[in-house]
Amino acid sequence: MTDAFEPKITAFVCNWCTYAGADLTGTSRIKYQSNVRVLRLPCTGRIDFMLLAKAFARGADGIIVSGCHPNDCHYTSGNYHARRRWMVYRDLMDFMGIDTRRVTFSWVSAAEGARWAELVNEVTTSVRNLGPYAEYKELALAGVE
Amino acid sequence: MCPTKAIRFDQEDELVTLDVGAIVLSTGFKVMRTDQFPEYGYGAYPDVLDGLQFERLASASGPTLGAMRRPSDGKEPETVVFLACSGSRDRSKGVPYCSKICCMYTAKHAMLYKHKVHHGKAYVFYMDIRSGGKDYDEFVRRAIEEDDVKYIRGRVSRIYQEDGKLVVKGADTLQGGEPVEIRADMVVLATAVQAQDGSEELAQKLHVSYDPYHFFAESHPKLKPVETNTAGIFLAGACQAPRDIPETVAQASGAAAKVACLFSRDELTREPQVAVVNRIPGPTFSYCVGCFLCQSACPYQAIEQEEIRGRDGTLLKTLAKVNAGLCQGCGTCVATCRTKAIDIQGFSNEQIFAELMTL
Repeated sequence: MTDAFEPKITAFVCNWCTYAGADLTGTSRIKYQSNVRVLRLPCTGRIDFMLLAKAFARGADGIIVSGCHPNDCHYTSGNYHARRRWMVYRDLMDFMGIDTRRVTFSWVSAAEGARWAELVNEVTTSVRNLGPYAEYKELALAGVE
Repeated sequence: MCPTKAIRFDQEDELVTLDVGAIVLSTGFKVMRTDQFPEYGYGAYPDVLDGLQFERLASASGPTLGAMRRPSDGKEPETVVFLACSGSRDRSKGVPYCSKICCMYTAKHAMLYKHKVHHGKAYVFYMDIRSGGKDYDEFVRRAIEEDDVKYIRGRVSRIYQEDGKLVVKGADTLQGGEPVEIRADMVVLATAVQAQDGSEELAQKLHVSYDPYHFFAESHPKLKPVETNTAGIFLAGACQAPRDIPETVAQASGAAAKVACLFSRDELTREPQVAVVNRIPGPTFSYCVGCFLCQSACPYQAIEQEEIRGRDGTLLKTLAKVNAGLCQGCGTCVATCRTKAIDIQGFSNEQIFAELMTL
């Protein structure tokens, strides 16, 4: 059963660093796991908790949030907002019963095509080991969503 | 003094408040002081100068009216040692970057000295001669070949005073690291270029990003070298990074042209991807509760307060209002807003949720 399981991973990436980095992965012809669905946002600072919760509700088994490295944000400080928010989200998710191992927060710059492939492969492997996120449905039924 | 009384000595400083459409930052730089170098005497030796002090000494309008006189006893220095890279390109105790202007002004200072004191000896200790630029390398070659300035590749480990002389101990790395000792009358340190004091506070006030050394950051290193990330604020000169006069003039002309472009049109053009505050059913019914968390989150100071007043002028509500000319569309305010009253065009909640629904 677990051999056949292919996780569905949603990546929230910023337009300026990670999206460009993922583009570089492609143009560099680096192969990586095809489990990731990329959602482009202007900045990681745009990411709202509800977007992550909604991704799980729509069947994501894992989430990647990735933006510019600290001090490299196109919008000066969006990634710092995202990082601060992530500290709060993680506790909130934990409190709500969401498995925080399924959310990976990372930085990938526009020059790090190989890093993006590595990140996706790492997350895919770890989520594959965790198995499908069936508990979220139970949480949702319990009235969390 | 002034026969026509053109100068008013009773004039005092005043604070002027202006409404402006653009700001050009050109606050310049400062040089590291000689007291920051323990191995060169902590600034205690009067004849160890920094480049700016030497510049004044050599200047015809300076304290000696251009005569070469060393500060301690007013004698003409027979031997002068110039140290390039004092504090620059020094990760352990200085700054890691190249200060860029020192190679050229050190060559100039050595030449100035040789032109004023013909029998004097000038030595320059250097790491690399970085004389990139039109006719720059020729200038350095002229100092070496025509003016007989001795260039020694190596660093100086120590300077100390002995019998009215400054003993400069260094090494010549082109001679296999052979120790060099020069008994000098004066030493000039080409100290590192640093950001002006207070530039961090200014950057924070104007919401301009800056690097770890407090130089202001341009919007893009190649494509937007004179703009900052905040619309309407431009950069010129060494407040952005160490640079020399021709480069500063070129960059300042660029900044001035950018401002002229901005002012030449009757209307501003902007990107469509900006944040908007909900006010569809009429401003008093907006979801915005006026907490202004968005205002503190905005890196561009694009969010203003708007007062909604009734016909009789009573204040009904205070709302957030986006200045679309300043907004760059990062969406940080959208994620910050607790009542979902602010949304960003092009990446609205509705649009992103629609994307998520198709996963």
